[in-house]
Amino acid sequence: MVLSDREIRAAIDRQSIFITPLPNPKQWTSTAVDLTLFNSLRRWKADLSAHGKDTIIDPMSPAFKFTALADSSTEVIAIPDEGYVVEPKEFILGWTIEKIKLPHRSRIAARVEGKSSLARLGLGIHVTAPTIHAGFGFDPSTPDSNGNPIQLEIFNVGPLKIRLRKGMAICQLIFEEVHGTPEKGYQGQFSTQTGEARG
Amino acid sequence: MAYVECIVEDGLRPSEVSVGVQDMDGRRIYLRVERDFVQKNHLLPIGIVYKDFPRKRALIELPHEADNGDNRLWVSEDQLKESKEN
Repeated sequence: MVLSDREIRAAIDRQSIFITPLPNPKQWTSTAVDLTLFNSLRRWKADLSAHGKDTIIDPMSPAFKFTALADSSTEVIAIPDEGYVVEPKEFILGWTIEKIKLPHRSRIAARVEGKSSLARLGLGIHVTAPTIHAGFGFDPSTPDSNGNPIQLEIFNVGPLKIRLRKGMAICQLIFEEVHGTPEKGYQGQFSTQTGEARG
Repeated sequence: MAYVECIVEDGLRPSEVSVGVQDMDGRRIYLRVERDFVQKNHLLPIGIVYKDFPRKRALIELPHEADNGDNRLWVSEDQLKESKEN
């Protein structure tokens, strides 16, 4: 069941959902909260073959490590005051300013989704991976942590250049109740991804 | 039912209009809705989230996301019309 704005606020008040910083009143809708774009991006280098890289990625390889790939194949872009222009067919990684924590005891999961105003221009913010699992951002060893930002896979499939500005509403987060209590919180490879990756 | 004053322009289809709602900063926020959704050709149905009486303004929720990404905006109370439902 999707949580309404009242239920999301109540969950924040009882510390079942953590969003840091808290969204301002304009970031809310009846059933979602808009999240905003962090001030740096990771841009995939345009032509990796020109850098002598093997452009075939084997994610099933035991040695495959995404952070190593991203470190060698992307460059950090600080979004300037005038914004960053996403070219047609460009694919970049971004992050939300807001950090999210969903303790699995809360029995709340979420989905990050795009905004229709950007979608109709051709801008997407995830590549078929919208799920924020129960337990996201929660590390029992650091209970006072604010949680983690959400990584966005931003792409432009439209014919127009689109300007992204730091702090703009870039996506929305929809919260859902989990039926039953998970045996343990989400411990996937991105569960405790820190903001350090944002550069 | 609550409404906010808006300007109405043609949409992408004959049955559609583009409406503009002015916020407290003087910006006009546009969104597209069905023509018959707008009442008396200048009133857009909205939800009132919060009334800030001292500052004579209200936080409203639009029927859906506007072209600029806004879902909620502050408007002057003068722009609002409310009718009692039976």
